[in-house]
Amino acid sequence: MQAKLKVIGADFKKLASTIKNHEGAVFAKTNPHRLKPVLLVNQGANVNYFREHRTLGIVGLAVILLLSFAHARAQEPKSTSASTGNAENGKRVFMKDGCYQCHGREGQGSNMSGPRIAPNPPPLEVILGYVRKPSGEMPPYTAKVISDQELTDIYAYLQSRPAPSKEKAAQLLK
Amino acid sequence: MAKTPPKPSGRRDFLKSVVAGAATLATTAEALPAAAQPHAEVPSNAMPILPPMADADPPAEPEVLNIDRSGSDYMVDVLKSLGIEYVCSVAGSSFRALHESVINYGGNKSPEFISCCHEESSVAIAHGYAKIEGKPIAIFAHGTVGLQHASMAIYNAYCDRVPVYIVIGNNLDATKRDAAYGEWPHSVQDAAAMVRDYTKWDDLPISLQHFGESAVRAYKVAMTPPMGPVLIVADSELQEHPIEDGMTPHIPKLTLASPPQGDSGSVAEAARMLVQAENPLIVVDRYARTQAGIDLLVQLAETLQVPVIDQAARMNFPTRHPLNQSSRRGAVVANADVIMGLEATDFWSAMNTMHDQVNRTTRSIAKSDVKLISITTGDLYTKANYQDFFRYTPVDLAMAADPEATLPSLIEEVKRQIPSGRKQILADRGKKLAAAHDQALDLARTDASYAWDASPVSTGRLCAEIWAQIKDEDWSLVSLLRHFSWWPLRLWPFDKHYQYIGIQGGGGVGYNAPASVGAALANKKYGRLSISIQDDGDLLFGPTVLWTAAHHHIPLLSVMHNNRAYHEELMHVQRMANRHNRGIDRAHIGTTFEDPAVDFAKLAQGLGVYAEGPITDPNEIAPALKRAIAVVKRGEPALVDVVTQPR
Repeated sequence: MQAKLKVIGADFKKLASTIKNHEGAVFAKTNPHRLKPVLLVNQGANVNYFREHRTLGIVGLAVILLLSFAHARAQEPKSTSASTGNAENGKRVFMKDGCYQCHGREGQGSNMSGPRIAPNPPPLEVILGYVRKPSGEMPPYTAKVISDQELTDIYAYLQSRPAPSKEKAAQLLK
Repeated sequence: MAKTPPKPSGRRDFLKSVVAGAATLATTAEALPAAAQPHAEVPSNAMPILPPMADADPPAEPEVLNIDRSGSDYMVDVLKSLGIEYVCSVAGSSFRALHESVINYGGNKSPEFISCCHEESSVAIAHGYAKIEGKPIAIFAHGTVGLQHASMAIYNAYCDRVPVYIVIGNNLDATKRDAAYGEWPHSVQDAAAMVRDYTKWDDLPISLQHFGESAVRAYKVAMTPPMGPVLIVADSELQEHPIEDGMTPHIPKLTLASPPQGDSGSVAEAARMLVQAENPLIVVDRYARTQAGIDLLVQLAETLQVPVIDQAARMNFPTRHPLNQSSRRGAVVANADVIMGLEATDFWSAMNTMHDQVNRTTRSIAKSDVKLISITTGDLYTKANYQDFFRYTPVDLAMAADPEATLPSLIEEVKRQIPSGRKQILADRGKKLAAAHDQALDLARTDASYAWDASPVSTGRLCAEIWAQIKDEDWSLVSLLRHFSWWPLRLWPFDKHYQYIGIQGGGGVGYNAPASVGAALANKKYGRLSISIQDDGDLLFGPTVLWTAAHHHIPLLSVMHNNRAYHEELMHVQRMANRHNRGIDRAHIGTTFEDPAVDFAKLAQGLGVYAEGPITDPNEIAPALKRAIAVVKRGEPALVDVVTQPR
């Protein structure tokens, strides 16, 4: 599938309203002093994950992710399934290779360094494509320095992270 | 009454030779007493009563051993007249007389001598103090080695446009330098040269009257927006020379300049642009000098129903105000047709992004035809060498003025120009912004709930735990927040000027700990609970400031954001390793504090500060904070070391 969509805020909002909210909402994390990272899909070409957009919100972001997922699948070889990932090894690699520095040790992200990618990370195929050729501020991780299997293990680790404790946070922050 | 001792020769000749014909202490030279009788010849087998005379010229008169008052006493009188409450200093011989005059002649009160262990701490304490009190305290330092130590902190204060009052000692007369005291390497021709690029004004007074006038002028310069550090050289001879009877110089009156306001025409034009805009936006950074500044901005924003983006170099705008859109910068900037920057230090970055890959590129996030208004004192005062002025931003209307001083007239003009038919449009705009603000706050609370039980502790969890303990206190957050993901500004309700003191200005690491102590020193008399979220790397630059806090009983709660790294640099080196496709697992070399990890609780305890930690279980934070806050409320500093996630 070729992603030949141009971002138009209103259209994406309409489309996005039918899509289940994806936890890739991490990319729409807001922060007071940096850009709100959102997605912009260029016509027929690469997906830029962290370009600015005026009104694209969390749900619209999920649309882009899914579209880019499809786009990436058309471009990349068949990937390994998430079910073959080893979470323990994934944690080791996640720390060793510096992923935690920007995304946090739990994948919880920070508005100062990198988006939240756990406990519901973007599809594995998206991750496999993006880390090789990031279009935003993320530094690249080529196959020379990290293998698809290691990324799959990381994926398993991210999936294993606990859900947020919204009630506990609300209790302290009232 | 003791007989007035004979005047020593040599010193007055020096002063006259430096200022030919311009001596302000004109006296009539008195006839010197006759030379003392030479020593009588002693038998060769007798022990000499006195040691042999030096091979230099023998003194022409009996040596003066006591004087009633010296120049440094007058200098302290000048500092008192300026309302200087404290002098922060590492003791030094080049200003020994000033030091003694502060603690004895001045009674060690206004100013009180604050003992520091590093001159960088001295200046940074003054930096933090000034951001609470809005006025400077003084620093004493050696003119060479002391100033060198202090220089980074002076740079921070300069970039942050904060008044700091620096007095340095020097030994200008080469014939009076005592090598035994190290006075040769402690002496310099032009003492202020080293920091002149990042101080507003400096002088080397030659006489006490000159000192008085320059000291008062320096204070005025420091306090005129844009504010900044100033420096006076107090030569050791001038300090130690006795004040002649009846010749005490007068102290000039201090009259502060009122800050410059925007001209009426420009103010009217700015009002017109803002009123007629469909989507105006206000960006603030180093805007609010006082609580009045915050109140005025609220009034302007509410009159126009305009969103405000706070870049947080100061406490500028209430964080829970519905028009505060700081969390939605991208959206509101992209939507704006008129943007007004109020002391926006980096106006360019409010509207542009930089892409940090192999080739750095930039991109605008604002509309191509957006109209820009700037009100800043930066247009009144810019130096060339140090590049703290950020990237040039072409604006449509520029007022070289203090925005806090300009806002009253701008508010009046806006009110005058708003047509009655537009008020409903503004009200509708405000409602949308309020809804977006609430949504952003909910999102921030959700973000904080991730990794809630993680170890190391998540910064969101730590922020929430601190809030739960301080929310009923009159609190003041006296630390940097950038490395802490700005959590408090996103989650806590800030509405008072003293609740947040902003950034360090020059990005010099090592500012936070001493600035927190300085701000806490200022807060002390108001009974406020001062809290610092303290980066580990920053504290390691100058941990001895904790001793200063303990010694002077400065109540301050320091909660460590201990990620065991210079994390910013770790990410930079990681980026380079990734870029070069090599060694991506080695970026920790030279950037982390492991093997061993620093025990900040022991470090603090060794410096006299109550401390607990390291805490790695988030459930232990609350009880530890309770105990530490109890100590702080008794008037002492306390530190809780929490091992945290990176950001």
